Amino acid sequence: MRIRAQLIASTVLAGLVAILVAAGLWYATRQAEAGLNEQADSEQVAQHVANMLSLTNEFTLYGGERAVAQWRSRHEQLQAAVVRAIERRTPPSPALVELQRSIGDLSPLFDKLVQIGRQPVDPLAQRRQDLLLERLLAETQAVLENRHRWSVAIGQAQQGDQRLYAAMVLAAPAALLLLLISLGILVGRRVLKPLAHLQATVTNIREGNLGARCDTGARDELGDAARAIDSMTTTLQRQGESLATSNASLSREITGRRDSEERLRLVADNLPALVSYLDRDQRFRFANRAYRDWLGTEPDALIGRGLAEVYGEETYVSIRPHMEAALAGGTVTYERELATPVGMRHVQVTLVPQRDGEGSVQGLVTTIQDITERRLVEVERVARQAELESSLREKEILLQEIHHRVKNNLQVISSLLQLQAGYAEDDAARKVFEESQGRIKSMALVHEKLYQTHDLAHIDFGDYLRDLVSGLAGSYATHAAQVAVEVQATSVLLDVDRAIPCGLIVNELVSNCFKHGFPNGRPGRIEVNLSGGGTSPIQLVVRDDGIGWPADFNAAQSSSLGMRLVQILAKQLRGSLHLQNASGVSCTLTLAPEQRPT
Amino acid sequence: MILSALAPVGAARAEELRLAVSRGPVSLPIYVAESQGYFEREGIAVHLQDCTSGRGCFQLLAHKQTDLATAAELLVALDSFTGSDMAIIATLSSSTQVIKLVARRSAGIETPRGLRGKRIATVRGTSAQYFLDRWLVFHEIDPKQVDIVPLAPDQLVAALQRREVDAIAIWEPIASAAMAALAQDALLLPSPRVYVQHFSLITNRQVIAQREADLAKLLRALERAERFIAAQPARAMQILNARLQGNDGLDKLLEHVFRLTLEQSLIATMDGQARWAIRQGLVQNSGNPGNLLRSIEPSLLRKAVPGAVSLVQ
Repeated sequence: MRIRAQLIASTVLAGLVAILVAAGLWYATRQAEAGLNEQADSEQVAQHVANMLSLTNEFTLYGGERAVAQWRSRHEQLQAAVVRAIERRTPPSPALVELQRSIGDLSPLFDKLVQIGRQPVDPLAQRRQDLLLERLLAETQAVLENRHRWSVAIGQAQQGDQRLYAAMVLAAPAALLLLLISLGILVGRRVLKPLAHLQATVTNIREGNLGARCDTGARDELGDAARAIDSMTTTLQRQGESLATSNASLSREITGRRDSEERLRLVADNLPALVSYLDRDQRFRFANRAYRDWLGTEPDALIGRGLAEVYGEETYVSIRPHMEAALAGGTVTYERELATPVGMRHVQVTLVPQRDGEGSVQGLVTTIQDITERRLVEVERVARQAELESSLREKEILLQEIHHRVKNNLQVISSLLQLQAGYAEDDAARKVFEESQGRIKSMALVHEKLYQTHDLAHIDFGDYLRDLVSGLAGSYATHAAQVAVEVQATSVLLDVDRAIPCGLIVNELVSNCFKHGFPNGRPGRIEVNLSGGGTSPIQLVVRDDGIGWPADFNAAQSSSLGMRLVQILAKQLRGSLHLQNASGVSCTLTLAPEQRPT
Repeated sequence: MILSALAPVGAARAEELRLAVSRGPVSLPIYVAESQGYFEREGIAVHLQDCTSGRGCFQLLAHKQTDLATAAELLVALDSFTGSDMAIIATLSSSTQVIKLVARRSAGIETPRGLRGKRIATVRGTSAQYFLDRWLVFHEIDPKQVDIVPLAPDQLVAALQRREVDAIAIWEPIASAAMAALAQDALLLPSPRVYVQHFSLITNRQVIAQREADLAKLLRALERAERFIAAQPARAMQILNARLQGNDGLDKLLEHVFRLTLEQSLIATMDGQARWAIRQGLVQNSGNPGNLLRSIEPSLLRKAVPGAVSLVQ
């Protein structure tokens, strides 16, 4: 049961006892007063009855209206007194009720006695008078007896009331004392004892014994408080243990951090750069040893000082935009001149913002590297490169010129061969000159393409093919006016060593097509296809839909110069040559991809 | 058994007290004391002897066939003329209603005055005859104007039924039996308190001398029984009905005052009865009755129940 409930119950009980005692005392007092009043009534009744007896005797002896009137008056007073007594005590005692009844019996008897008169007329009347008188006296006596019993009852009731009053007087302090003792025991057992235990436990805990517990099973307020303290102590104990663990961990972490910091400082001190940390107010919070070496300022002397103070107002004004940009959150790198005791140095400054957990910039890590030497090397390198580029340009121009001159020389040779052919009388000789001229052209076209290129080493062979075949078509326009030529070529880069043989092969094959494939104005078509390149094999196909080779023609064993050149050049190019004679002639040269130096 | 166990150790060895009890509601305190074990509690052994009337009980006492008897005071008053040592030691109950006058309507009786010239049966020499005589005088009827027929108690109802008599004056429970027997023909005439019967506990001087302590215990047991009747009238009525094999209501109890007393009115009544007995020739005495106080022994009751005796000696 809760202490509060018990205390309320005790208070209510005390109140009830007090009310009960007060009510009992009030009741006993009232009963005592009623008893006294009733006793007075009883005495008055006795007096009336005594007077009535006297009046009865007087009437019997002497008769007379006065005695009769007085008897009746007394009887009325007697009845009224009894009625008052009955009204005063509820319920009335049985003796009182019987008294009232017996008083009521008197009046008829007296009335009959009065009717007979004092002198009876006959013996029966005499006997009747005797009877009535006897009954009247007996009933009056009965009234007295009943009055006596009533009085005894009043006495007994008074004794009872007195006993009740005495019991109340004794019981009231006894009950209050008992209540106080009970309350004392209750408070002692339910409050003071648990409170002392609680206090001892709390003292124990306060002295550091977190293992102390109240350990109570009481289901009251103090029990709840004790359990709350136990719970709190358990939490404290756990937190203490956790704190100790955290402390040890923190200690290790601090030691680790200190070591780390020392290592970091060692690293920073030995870096060939000025390393510092600036707070948001651009004041030094850290500076490495290089500041002493470079600027002659002790690092510790910088701590707390601002940039303007350290570098001067003029310098600070020049670097301030960089600082503000870095504090705005961007990593900033810039170069500038820095005056040092050993002279002006060129430095590269890097500002890295340091952010907190919420991303706000808390400060800047500044790194100032001396790049004076590097800058000098760089300047020298640039100068040398410029020289090399100039030299290279000169060589390229020279090479271009060589190719141009080779092309010009080859064109001169071609022109000479053309002139020489004009003087030849023999068609075969002229044909030889013309064929040689064609071959020289094909070679000159390579050099022409070379000096037109950017690198002077490779030509776009597809582009070359279109110019070459177009030139050949123009040369054989009179012989094969009805022959269409189509070149389908991708852009395939070939160096000069491969371009010239390939150009000669195409020149021979296409020339053969024109010369032998379409006799007598036969219309037809010559296709030149170039594909592959890069990392893929290069495939060069020359095909016509002419008459084809004669049936007994063996290209591999042909004695013609052209076909021998084709065979030789293909072998020189380490390519494979595939000849086909069906619905025309088809020659396919397949070359391995160019091996470029990596 | 529990009540028996509460009795004093010597109770089992006590000599039995013989008590002749007149059958009727007047003896209710004795029935209650017996049923409630009050005698055993007081440590006395009481043997009850049933009688049809007080006179029968008194005769048993006169013949030493019992130690005590319950009877109306009239018998002691009459016996006093013989010089016997009978004495009333307490009044068990008093009543003005225990004796009734039951008439037959068929005899033309409607009012008390209608009894003139009628045959009225009663038990001679008993309180019933005394009551009848006073009743007649009270109603201005000369007893000589009626024919008094003396009969035994057990003959009265039959005589009335057979119309041998016109009315009977008799005590309970015979009066109620007569009323029941006549049914619609019965007329109960009003009783104007002409006689207060003191139904008493009677013994002789020898028993008083020899069994004084037992008699005091007996009186205490009866006083306790009367308190029981006052406190629990319904249960008392149950006991009475069980004893008399009747089925009466509580109103029967109101006809009696169950109070163990010895009052002054007792001696006055006995004195009047003595004079009446002389006048009626019921006793052999030509002069005034003797001192009837000798027929009353109040010392036992005074000792057993203080305050119960108001008799002046």
